[in-house]
Amino acid sequence: MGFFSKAKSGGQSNLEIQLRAVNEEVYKHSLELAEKNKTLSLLSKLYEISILALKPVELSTKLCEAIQNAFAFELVGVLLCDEKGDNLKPLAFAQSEHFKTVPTDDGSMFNTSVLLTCPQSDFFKKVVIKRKMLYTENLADICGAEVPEKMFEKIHADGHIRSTLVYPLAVEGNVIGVFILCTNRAYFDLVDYEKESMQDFVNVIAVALDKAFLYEKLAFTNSELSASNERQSKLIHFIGHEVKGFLTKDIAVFSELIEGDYGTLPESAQKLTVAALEQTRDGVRAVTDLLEASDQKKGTVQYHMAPLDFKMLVEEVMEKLRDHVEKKGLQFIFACDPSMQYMITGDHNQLGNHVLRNLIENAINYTPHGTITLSLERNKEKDASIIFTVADTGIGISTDDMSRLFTEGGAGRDAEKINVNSTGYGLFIAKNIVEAHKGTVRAESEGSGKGSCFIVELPAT
Amino acid sequence: MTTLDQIAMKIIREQELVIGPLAWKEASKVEGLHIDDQTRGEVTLTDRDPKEAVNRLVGRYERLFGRASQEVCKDAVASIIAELPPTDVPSSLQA
Repeated sequence: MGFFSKAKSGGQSNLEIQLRAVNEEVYKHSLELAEKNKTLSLLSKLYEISILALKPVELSTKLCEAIQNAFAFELVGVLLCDEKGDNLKPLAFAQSEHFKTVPTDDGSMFNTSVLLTCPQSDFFKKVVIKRKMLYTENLADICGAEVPEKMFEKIHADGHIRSTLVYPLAVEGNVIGVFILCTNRAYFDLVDYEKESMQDFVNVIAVALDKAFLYEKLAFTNSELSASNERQSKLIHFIGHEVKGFLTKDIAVFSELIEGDYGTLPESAQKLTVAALEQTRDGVRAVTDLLEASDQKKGTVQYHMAPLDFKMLVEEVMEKLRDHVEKKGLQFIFACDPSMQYMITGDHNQLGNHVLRNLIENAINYTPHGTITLSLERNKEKDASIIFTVADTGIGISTDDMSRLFTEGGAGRDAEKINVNSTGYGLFIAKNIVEAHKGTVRAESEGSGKGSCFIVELPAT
Repeated sequence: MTTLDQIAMKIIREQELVIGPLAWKEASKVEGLHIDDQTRGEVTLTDRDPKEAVNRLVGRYERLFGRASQEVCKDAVASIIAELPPTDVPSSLQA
């Protein structure tokens, strides 16, 4: 489509008149698009600023600078409501190069210090209460008694401020502050594009600011939480070690009494002392579990990895627990192919005491009668792994309990009834250790009363 | 750049947003206006009366695209004009 028309000498033909009319029409449409483009372009710029993870002051400053630059306003700024909503505090400002150089009476540069002293003005409060834009052509309406009249004359004359517009910054109906802009034209002399698009920009500023404050609160809360967790962890360790120390001394005393180091105890006292010794050992294990879980959470457990014969480790742990199994009258079976190798790289103490012992003791504790079967095999499909299984004919695991099984403090409800001393940390610790060995652990059960099966898979060497 | 040079530059740039590179092409035909660097948007008014050169620039756009284009010229430089004494404002840009 052509944009050109040439005037013929002596007048224009009908065709030329029509062409010009078409040109004008096309121009008007292009103008509309250009204005929408400008609005979108600035909105895009404001959006880019708003998605940066900036603190509120920095964010507001960048937004003010973008708007001041785009519209060549003399002064653009944000004032924020305090928590009670009674007062406004200046947050950020952007000024034109010209405005920055306007001197005050005493020779110093006029800057936003004037506006910094008058945020309590009724003018601002009206904007907050009425939740609509107000404007004035007299800065005295805003600054009032805070600033001498001569200063206003200077600001109006040298600073070229002709009118000031103040918009409420509202998010979800709440006014969080005000947006102020000072321009060298009267409000009604502002071009339509400026008047119509300003509200869109103010809305972006309000949302961006709200988000920035939320981020700041979250960051602060996170930091407080981390500090609190750290303090709690230190306290747990301190208390844990102290308590473990006392209990260990009690174990020594009870053992000496049982061994007869202080003479033979009467039978009734002997029974009580044996029971007390067992309970104290349970106490030490519980405290050890808590300390271990705390270390797991912090990631401070040191693993001493070395070549390890997993079959031998299973047999070691079985021997330690055989008495316990026999006292309960349970059958204890270990099935594995003796011709296969079961070497892994692992921490003997962690795997032995916190994984195998934990899984097998759980099976013993939660199996009133029947069998505990341990099995060890090589994964035929994945040649690199060994599979260790502890299966029992015990109380089983309900669907509800299954979801909490390997979590901190996640003892099952049925399990708690049987083992009231359970800390709920055993499986959490076991899972962390297995995963630190690049393995997996899972549980299977057909439900309450139907036994359970714990399967550990570890990479073989 | 003088104030009137800046006014001319702002007008051409604003028109460029509406009609594209044609804005510069038409501006280059205005007597007394020299385009120093289109990419950097630098222009110089070489006329003895630079205000008249600005009037010719505004007039050129107005003849091609009508009254709307004159309003665009005025809006583009409203903030600059506001700071000029009325006698320094080209007639085509006066309210």
